[in-house]
Amino acid sequence: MRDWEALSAYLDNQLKPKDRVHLESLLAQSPELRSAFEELRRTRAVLRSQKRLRAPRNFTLTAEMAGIRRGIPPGARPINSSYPVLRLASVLATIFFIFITIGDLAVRMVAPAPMTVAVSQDQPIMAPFGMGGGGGGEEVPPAPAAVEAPAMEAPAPVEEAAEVAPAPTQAALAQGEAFSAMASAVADQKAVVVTPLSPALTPTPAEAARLLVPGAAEAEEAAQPVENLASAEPAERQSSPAGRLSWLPLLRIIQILLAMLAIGAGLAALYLRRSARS
Amino acid sequence: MDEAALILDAQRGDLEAFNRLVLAYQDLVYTQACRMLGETEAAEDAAQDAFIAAFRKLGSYRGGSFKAWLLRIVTNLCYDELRRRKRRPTTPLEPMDNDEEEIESPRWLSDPNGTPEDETERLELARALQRCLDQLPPEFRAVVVLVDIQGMDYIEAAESTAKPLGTVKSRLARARMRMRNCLQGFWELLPESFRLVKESEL
Repeated sequence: MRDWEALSAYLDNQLKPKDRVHLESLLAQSPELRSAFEELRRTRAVLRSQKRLRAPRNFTLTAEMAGIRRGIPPGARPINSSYPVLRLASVLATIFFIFITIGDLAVRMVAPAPMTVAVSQDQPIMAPFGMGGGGGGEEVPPAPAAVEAPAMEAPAPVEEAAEVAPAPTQAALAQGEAFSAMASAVADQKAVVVTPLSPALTPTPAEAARLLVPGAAEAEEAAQPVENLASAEPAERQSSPAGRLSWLPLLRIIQILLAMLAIGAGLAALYLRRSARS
Repeated sequence: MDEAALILDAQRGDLEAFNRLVLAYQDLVYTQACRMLGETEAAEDAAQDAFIAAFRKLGSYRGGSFKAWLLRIVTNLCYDELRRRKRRPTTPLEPMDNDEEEIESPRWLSDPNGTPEDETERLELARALQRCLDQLPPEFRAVVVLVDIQGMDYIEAAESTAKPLGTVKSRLARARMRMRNCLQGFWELLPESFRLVKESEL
């Protein structure tokens, strides 16, 4: 075999000069080696005599073959066909989730508005009512508890509402502090209503409903000592929260499902994209 | 436009530039696939797949022989196909009768320019040669096709097979020896005139 390798390299002029000289002297001395070399030379000639084949058709690439239309850069493997579907599902789920959450929050902010309007008719209010909880907390000592309520976990506001609500009710008896009482009651109601319903960390719909009912009842209590309140407004306040209760559990379920779909589809799409590019 | 400029443009995503390279190298790539796989349909698929893979892998081309780089892609695809066939053997596309004469002449082995007698002898030789190539282990087959049929030098063959120069020399020698043994009986059956013609090409 070594002889054959040397002969093969010699045939292709791949031997070093020293080795070539040595092999040529062996060839001169050995008929068998010469015969083997001739057969090797003939074999190579037969192989070389084969003409290069012509391609039966052009193998040029279309844009689709090259993956250009699908936005795949050169060097990347084709991406899984479910990637666009997952990406779209994630985006749509996120959009619907945000839409529903914003709509839900907007409804809640609009619901306390009738109480706000009634108060402003009696007592001029300078601060916007989004800050009412803070203002109330500064002026009425019992109210700071209501201001701190938004920072607490969901079960806590249940107790806070029970404690704080009677305080604004008592403060509202004083005429000069009617506004402060209303501000506290509003803040209280907001604390009770808003905190348990923060997105993505919502309590069960049943728990949220329970929180709402005391909040509505206390808002009504706090409103009674105020003389100039329209009688229809508490009824409005009471009816609007109660009216929301019927579809609230379904809303929460939809929100949770949309969030899970958005996250799940987004992660799957990201995984497919990364595995295609690796 | 020179090859280096075409390659640069193709690497930037210019499909038209890449397709000009395809036209320049498709015979070479198709020949490699045909000789490795021994059949035209599979060779066409392998050649097309090789160019698609080459376009997508252009980012990994770092200079050197573009020809060797392309041949490496198609050779690897052929290795994969041969391994797949080994796991799931398929019936040959050119059926043989009991006398081991092929019923259909392989069109891609014929040369339209020769006389009928020359054509017959050429076809006989070509069939015998391809049959002998088919019996070689894939790694030996690749080297002998690259060097002796495609005309590449040892260094280009080493690049195309991603093997050291010493391995290429050794595999080439072994492949030629096996081809010599396989063609031995056939060679003696050839008419004298044909043998003399072949001798003159040495």
